[in-house]
Amino acid sequence: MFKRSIQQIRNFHSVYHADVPILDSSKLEVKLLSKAYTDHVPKLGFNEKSVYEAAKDLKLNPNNLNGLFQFTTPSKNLSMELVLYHLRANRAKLVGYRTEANNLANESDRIRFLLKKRLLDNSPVVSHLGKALGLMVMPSNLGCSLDELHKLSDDISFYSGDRSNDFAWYSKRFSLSGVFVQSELFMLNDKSDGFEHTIEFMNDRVDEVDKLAYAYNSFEEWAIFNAHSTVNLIKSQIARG
Amino acid sequence: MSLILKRLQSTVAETVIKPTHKALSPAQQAYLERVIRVDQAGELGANLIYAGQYMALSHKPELKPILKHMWDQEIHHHNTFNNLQVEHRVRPSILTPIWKVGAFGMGLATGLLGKEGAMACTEAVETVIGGHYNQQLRVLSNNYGDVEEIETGKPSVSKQVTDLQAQISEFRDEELEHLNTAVQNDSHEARPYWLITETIKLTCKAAVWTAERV
Ligand SMILES: [Fe+2]
Ligand SMILES: [Fe+2]
Repeated sequence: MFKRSIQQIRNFHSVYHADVPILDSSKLEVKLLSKAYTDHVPKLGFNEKSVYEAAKDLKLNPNNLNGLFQFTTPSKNLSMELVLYHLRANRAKLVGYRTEANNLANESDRIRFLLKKRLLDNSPVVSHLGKALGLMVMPSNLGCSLDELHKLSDDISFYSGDRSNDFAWYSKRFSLSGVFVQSELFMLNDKSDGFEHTIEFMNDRVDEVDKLAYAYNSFEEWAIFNAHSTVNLIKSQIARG
Repeated sequence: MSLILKRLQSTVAETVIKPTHKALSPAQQAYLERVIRVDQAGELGANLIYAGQYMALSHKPELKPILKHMWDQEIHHHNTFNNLQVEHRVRPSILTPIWKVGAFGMGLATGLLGKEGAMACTEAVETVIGGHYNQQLRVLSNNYGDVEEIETGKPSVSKQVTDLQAQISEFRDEELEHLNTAVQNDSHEARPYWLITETIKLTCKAAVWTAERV
């Protein structure tokens, strides 16, 4: 599972080549899910009913839906397709916040800003988010969900200007994923105005990550310093002998 | 704020270049990604091998400038691939902590064997890396000509690939220079020469194989 989600994720980016869109809105099933997500999920939740209603709106035959989805998606489950749409559409929305994020002075602030935007974009469907999370962690769906979660952290890292080249690349993404999942769980029971408690909770978690990153870096510097003095010791011993 | 974050305070540069070509195929992307990941790990290793050798041998005035020159070039190689990795959103090898310790240790150990040991190490490493870069250049020139230009629809090789080819061949030439430097500085006098060089070559090949994948 771990190996799969590490190896299959591909966000390769080249300025000379067109990017592959996160959601291809020319596809019929994407149009249908989009309609269902915007117009019906806030009221009806992440379930087949929302998709049926959207199909009626779009004058499609609702009895044909299972056929349409079974042959084109791996989950073979309409509710999960809606959840995945929710994840992808909101991830795609982050692109639009990049310019605003770029005005912020440092990477940590940009991360907080993007996480906040992403969390607040849950607002219209927040009463159904618990059920969505339940679907995401079902064994048959966990792989897709983790892929999406990692892609979210990777997008946020990239948009906020991450330039890590070593193991910090992984620590950063895994910690961001952790912060996001914990904040979403917090959000489920948050009744505060504009989810300010959730945002506060998220900021505290990012503070912790910042401290952790500091510890990692200091450890590396400490190790290199020690290697230096050890070698000098060895050299002095050799010279003496 | 953390050191990691502080280092990276500069604002995000927005890309102004417009894409000239349609998307690469998943296989083409996967190969470019592998190239950048393994070369980054390799140059990280090279950088740290010289760091180790320099630590062991910099007290010898006749060796210091030679090592420093090669080390500086490796730092430049390493920085170049670090930038490519970030810009292309390639995940670095997850084993970077191991590459760091291993490469530094290899440089240090061969350096402590003395000048000849260090040079034998360089010779072995550069032999493998030179061949490895040549292999990549062959694949790049054979498999990237079929991507269509957005405006004309004609298939051609994008600047993405030609830039990378130019970069790799420049580095390949510098690695071969290092190889010559090592031979001129008595790498063949190292004892046991055959054991040192063959062990290091095998190690490098195993590391390349692993870093391409994880
Ligand atoms: Fe190099
Ligand atoms: Fe080299």
